[in-house]
Parts: sequence; structure tokens; C-alpha cells
Amino acid sequence: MAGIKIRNLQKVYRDGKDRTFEAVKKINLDIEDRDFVVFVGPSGCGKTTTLRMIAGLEDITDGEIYIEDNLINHVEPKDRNIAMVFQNYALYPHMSVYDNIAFGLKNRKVDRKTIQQKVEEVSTVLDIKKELHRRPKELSGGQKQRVAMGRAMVREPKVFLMDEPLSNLDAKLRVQMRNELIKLHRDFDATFIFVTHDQVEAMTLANKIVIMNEGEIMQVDSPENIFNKPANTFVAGFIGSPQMNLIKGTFNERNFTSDAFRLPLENLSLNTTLKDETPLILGIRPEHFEVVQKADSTTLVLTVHITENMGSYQNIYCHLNDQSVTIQTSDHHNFAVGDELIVKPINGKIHLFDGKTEKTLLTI
Amino acid sequence: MDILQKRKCLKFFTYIVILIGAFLMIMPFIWMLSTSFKEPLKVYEVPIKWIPEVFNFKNYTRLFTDYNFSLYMKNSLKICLLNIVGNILSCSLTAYAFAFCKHKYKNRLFLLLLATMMLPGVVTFFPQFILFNYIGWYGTLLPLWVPAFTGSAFYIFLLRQFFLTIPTELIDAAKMDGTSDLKILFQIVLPMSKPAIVVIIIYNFMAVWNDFFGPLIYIIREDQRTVAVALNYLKSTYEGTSSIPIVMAASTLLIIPSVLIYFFGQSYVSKGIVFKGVDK
Repeated sequence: MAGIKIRNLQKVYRDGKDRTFEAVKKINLDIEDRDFVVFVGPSGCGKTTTLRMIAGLEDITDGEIYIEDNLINHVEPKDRNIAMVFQNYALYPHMSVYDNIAFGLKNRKVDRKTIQQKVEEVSTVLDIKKELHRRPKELSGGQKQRVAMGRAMVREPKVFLMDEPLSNLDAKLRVQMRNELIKLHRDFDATFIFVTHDQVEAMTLANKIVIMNEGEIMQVDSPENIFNKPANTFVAGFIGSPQMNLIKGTFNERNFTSDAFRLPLENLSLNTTLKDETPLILGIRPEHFEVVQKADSTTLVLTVHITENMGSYQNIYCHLNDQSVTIQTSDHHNFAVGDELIVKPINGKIHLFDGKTEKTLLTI
Repeated sequence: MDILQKRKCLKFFTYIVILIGAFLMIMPFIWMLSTSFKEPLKVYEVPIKWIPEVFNFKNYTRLFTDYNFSLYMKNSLKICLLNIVGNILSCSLTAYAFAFCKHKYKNRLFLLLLATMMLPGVVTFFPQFILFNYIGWYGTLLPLWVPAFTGSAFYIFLLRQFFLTIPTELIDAAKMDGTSDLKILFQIVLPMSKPAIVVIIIYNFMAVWNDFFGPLIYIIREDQRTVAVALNYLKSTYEGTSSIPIVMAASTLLIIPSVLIYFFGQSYVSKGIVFKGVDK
């Protein structure tokens, strides 16, 4: 069972002048065997550093990593039974595709016949059998990606680590490779850990998403829960496109009150008791508004700023006093800049966060 | 005169200046080659006959029959080869450590290494000579090639800079594939550094092949002489016009390997390197 346990994992970079930067801040995480875990977050959030520490390519400042309950802090990368796929493929340019795939097995002194058999098996699965004699420079981006996958697969590792492996592919190929990765995960008896900054990849591939920011884990959950029950405003804003609208206000007489509108909070399941004047942040996804004709105290009266026609739907970027609010609607409206738009949040689709801690106030 | 005509004019004069420069540079070589085929009495003929009436190959054959030139060439080649192997081995190992290994004082040590490049050769010459004499290497070929196995600051710098252009992901991938640092150097890094290696081969070959000072100081026996030293002995054996064609023949032979290695090496280096295995 290739479950991974991460306990108080920390990475601190030091320069020669005693300046330090804490890239990963004492994180804890449990990854089950055969999980497809996606680390997602903005650049510099520590996701790749965490992956590299699991791989053994980066020294651990503090904390422990266990694979199959074995502490691997001081185990060489080659002895961790893991394989890694890199963002830029990292294929050896002077070797043929066959030699690239076989390289790891040759280093492990596997006999030639077994190597040949395994390379052929993997190349058949990845549909690169015809390219085995070619050099990496003669391959397309998608083929290089497959070779990189093949190099990892041929070793039959217990854990696959992937560092933004799809980011160099074009949009169409990325969708295709995503589907292939899902299929590979289904067929292989292995744990997949995938790093990306692309939320679409995270949502489509993972059965568990780890959202990171500034070296800390913001939330670990299934894609559905990450989207529907964000633990804090960072997760709420990071997942979903266009991002969730976050409107500041206060709690007053069981209502969310802002300068522009008042929203009853009666049907919400809160994890705490709120007092009047408690600062709140109301989160509403752009698609969770309905356009209405008549304004009342519970509606938002917005001023249209920009409209974006996306084909099957429309994004309308508006202003509400000083704040920006984005509306997504499948009905196409012909708004001009400065037009008035009246919208109402859909019942049961709102999120509520503490105005100070920015953590959710809803029961998860 | 419009701008196009001005550009054409400028280009024309640039070519003229380059051609004059090239002609001045190549003229002594043409004279050397031409003289190496002449009879001694025809050397100072005026006007100069660039193409001899009769090609006298005797000057070349005499170098091998009368002056043991094949042995001198063999000695030179042997020293060149050992120097190249020594430098590539020692410098690549050091450059790999400076490029890829983690060490607290790595950059300071590298600066110290670079600082040794500022020392003029004459400063280290005497201590080196005393040392080699003390350990009994005077009069042997050892001082001419063993130091190459201890590295050269310039070649280490050259290789280290080239290694730094190799994406670290390739090194990481090799580590994940279970490769040791030594194997990474010889199986991944060096095959990808052919242009830098070729540059070292060219520089090192030219420096050692044409080296006169080192062999002159350390070599005593005639059978240990290198081509450069032998050429000097040849010149001093026959002073006067009679020796000039044969000295020119020896000089031609001396420069042929350098020209060939530079010619082929340069064409290889100019191809450059493109890391198609890694998308950047």
C-alpha cells in the first residue's frame, strides 16, 4: 500500500547572508494508496517544493515523510519506488526514445530481454511504438510527453509524481492527455501526485485536491467539496472561473448587510453563533445570480463595465459601489457600458466567511 | 546617394579592408608553404615565385629519413593526447561539482579557482620546476602531461558555464532513474556538452602541440623531443639559406594538425547545441 504521510514538513531556504525564506510551512497531509492527488495553487505557493521533497530531490528542513509507513527522509530518490514526470519532459536529447525509456531499467541492471519486453509494453500502451528509434528532437510535444510518461511507467513505481506535465501542451492536446492520465491512473496500481496551477486540471483529474498558498495548505478535499464548500476566501477565489465574488459587509439582525444591499441569512447552517456588527464576507459565484427586472432591498443594482461573450454563456463585469462583481448568465443580454443591471443571489448558493479570519462560517 | 547605395558602398569598403587584412595574415603561410617545396638557392629569388617551377618533396622526405621527425611527431601527439584526456577528465569532474553539487562554500571556492587564472605562468614556473626536479621528473615527459590530470582553471570555468546551461531537470530525472553522479556526468552531461569538449580539445591541442617552453625546459634526451623543440634544433643545426626550405617543410608539418583540428572542430562547434529533449 503506497500511502504517503506528511508530518510537519518544512522547507526553509537560506542565502549566504542569513536571510531565510520559508517555502513550506510545517504542513501535514495524508495521501491514501491509489489516490490521484492534485497540488494546486499560485506560483511560489510551495507545491513543487513539496513534490520535490517527496521525490527526494530537495532536502527536508524539518518534518517527516512516510511512504508505506516507512520514513523516507534520508532515502535516496532511486530507492523510494517513485517516478517523476517533469514539466519540460526532461528527455535525454542524445538518446533514442527506446534508450530514454530503458535508461532507468539499465541502471537497475535489469536484463536486456526484460527491458525490451517492458519498453514494448509501455510503448504500446502509450502509442509510441513507431517512435522508439527516434530522438526527442524529432517528436511533437504530445509524443515527448508520452515518452516522459513511459519512462516513469516502465519502472512500475508505487508513486507517480508529476510536476505540471501538461503545461507545455496546447489546449487540445492537454484535454487529450488529461483523459489519458485518468485512464492510466485507472489501469495502474499506483498513487498519483500531480502539481499544477491550472484549476481545470485539478478539478478534472483529482479525487483529492490540495490547495496551497504561501507554503501552507488551505484545504484538502474532493473537487466537489472544494468547489461547493470552500474553507476560506482564498480557496473560494482560487477555484472557479470567473472567480467567486467576495463582498464585504456585516451581520445585522440575521441579515448580511452591506452599503448596497441586505441579504437574509435564515436558511444557512452556520458553524458559529454570530453577533451583530460581526464583519462578514459574502461569497457568490458569478453563475449563482439571477437577473431580475425590479430592485428591492435584497437585490444588487450593478453598473455594467465590460461584457464578454463566451458563446454558450456571457460574463458581465460590473461595479457595485467600489467593488467589482462578475455575473455569468446563459441568457444573452445586450448591455452597454454604464447600463444598470439588477441581480439577486440564488437561494442556497451563497457562501459566508468571517471578515477577520476569512474562514468559512458554514458547516462543511 | 540614397541609403541603399550608401549601405552597398559601406559593405564594399568593409570587404576590401577585410580582404587586405586576410591577405596580410595568410601571406607568410603561403610563403612558408611555397618555400618548403623550393631548392635552397631559389628561396630569395626576386620577384618572389609563389608557385615553385619544380615541386621539391625532398625537403619533406628528409625530415623523416635524416631527422627522425616521425618520432618527434609521435612524442608531440602522445603528450597532446594525454593532456586532452587528463584535462577533460579532471576539469569535467570539477566543473560538475561546481555546477550541480550543493556545497556551502561552492561559490567562494569557484572564485578562488578563478583567481588562480590571474597568476602569470612565470610566477608558478620556478616552484613547479623545483618540485618536479625534487620528485625526479626532470628529464622525463611526465611534467608535460601529468599536471593536466589535476585540472585547469580556464577549462573548468568553460565547462562549468556550459554545464549550467543544461536544464537541472535532466539531472533530477537521471537521479530518479537511479544514476550516480559519476554516471550522470559521463552518460548525460558530457554527451550533451560536445561543443564545450571540442573547444577544449582544440585549445588544448593547439597549446600543447605548439608548446616550446615546457619541452625545452624539461626534456634532455633527443628521443624525447617534441616537434616544436625539434624544429628549433633543426633551425640551429643549419644556419643560413640552405636550411630554410627544410625548416619551412618542418613548419608546414607542424601547423597541419593544428589547422586540421581547428578546421573540423570549428565546423562542429558552429553547429551549436539545441536541447530538443527539453522544452524551454
